Amino acid sequence: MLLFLATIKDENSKKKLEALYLKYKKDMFNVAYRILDDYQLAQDAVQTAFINIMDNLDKIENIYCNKTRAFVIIIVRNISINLYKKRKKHILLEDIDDTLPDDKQMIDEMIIDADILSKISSKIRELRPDYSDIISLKYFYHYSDDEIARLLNITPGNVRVRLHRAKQRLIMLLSEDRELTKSE
Amino acid sequence: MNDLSMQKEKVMEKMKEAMLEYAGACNAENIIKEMRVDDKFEEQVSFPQELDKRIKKLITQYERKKYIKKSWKTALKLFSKVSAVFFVVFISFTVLLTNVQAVRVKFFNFLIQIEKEFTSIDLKDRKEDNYTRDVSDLPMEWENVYIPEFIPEGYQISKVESLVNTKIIHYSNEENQIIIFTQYQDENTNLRIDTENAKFDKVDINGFEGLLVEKNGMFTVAWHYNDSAFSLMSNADKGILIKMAESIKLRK
Repeated sequence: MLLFLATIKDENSKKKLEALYLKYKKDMFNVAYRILDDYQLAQDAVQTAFINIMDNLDKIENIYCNKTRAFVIIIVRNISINLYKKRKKHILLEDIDDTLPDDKQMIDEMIIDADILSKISSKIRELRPDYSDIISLKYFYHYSDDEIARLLNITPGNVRVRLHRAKQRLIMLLSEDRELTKSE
Repeated sequence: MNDLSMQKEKVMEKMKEAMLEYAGACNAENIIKEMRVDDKFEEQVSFPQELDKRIKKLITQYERKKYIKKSWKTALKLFSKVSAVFFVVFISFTVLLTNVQAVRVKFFNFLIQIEKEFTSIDLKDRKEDNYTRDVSDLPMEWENVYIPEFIPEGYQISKVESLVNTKIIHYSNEENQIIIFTQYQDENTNLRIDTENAKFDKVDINGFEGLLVEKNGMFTVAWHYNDSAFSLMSNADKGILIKMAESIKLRK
């Protein structure tokens, strides 16, 4: 009986994977191609992203919702950015070992006023995609640092540094806006 | 830092987390909006069909990988159960071996036979052994061995031992008195008897000089005869020992 249930579960996983791929394959490929501008590399990016998504299949509750669509795009987008950086032999920002300032004070000083939410909504757009995406994965999709590292094919150390910089940058953008309002 | 400040800090942390969660949700929303804009435009690049094949292969491999993983898990579970059963059987067998006399004797016989070149041990459970033996019960392979023909009344053979060149016969009676007769068949045997703080006298055994030693209530008679050396030990009467010593006859 248990074996039968396990078989059903496997069959469900297979169907879920196939459905996920059919639903988002074009989105994934288009996003990867737009970043990489390379037909072959874009396919590699989609394949890598799909492997990483497969390992987290249990966390995807509904394939056909926008939350899942955004998640799939975030993964393929970041994998593509990684590949792009490697191809261009760019030094990854996370590889530079510098001391990161504490963002606590900036948070403390920031007053969460009535229109802060609309500010966040607009300022997140100004962040680099890999910064805004890591915030989404961590705080919206609630993945751990290790899980994010596996999803994006980066080290957990890189995850922590990137996440810290992303938060720092977002808070800075929000603070700048506030300072501007004050001076006016 | 007092408890209220700590509480405030925690709340601030929660607000920060909530703010970041909101930012993450906004980012996801922005992605969807961007994709919707993209959807309106016609695809500039045709979708590669070989990607479908690659992903299909990937899904099949994923299934296989999952099956192998599951099989391993099942195998490991089964292995642990089999180990447990084996352990229980092993323990049960050990308990059976030490509790059931028939099995125990057979098992020990097997062990003893391995060492037969060196020794032969009586495996009878003496506590339960009501069977008594006389000279005719001595091992058949005992040839050219001297045996005392005189056995004091009430004594019977309780145990026999055979080493390479040594034969030992134990006699006992109901009063738990014992006599141990030992024959050393090597002419070069050097008998050593503990005579420290002991009484000892020379005795004559069938015309051969022997030694009678008394220590801590134990009597020992030791002598040579032809190519062998002998000793008789007992906590009984020393006269009996001398009589026994004089009665030894070669069994052919």
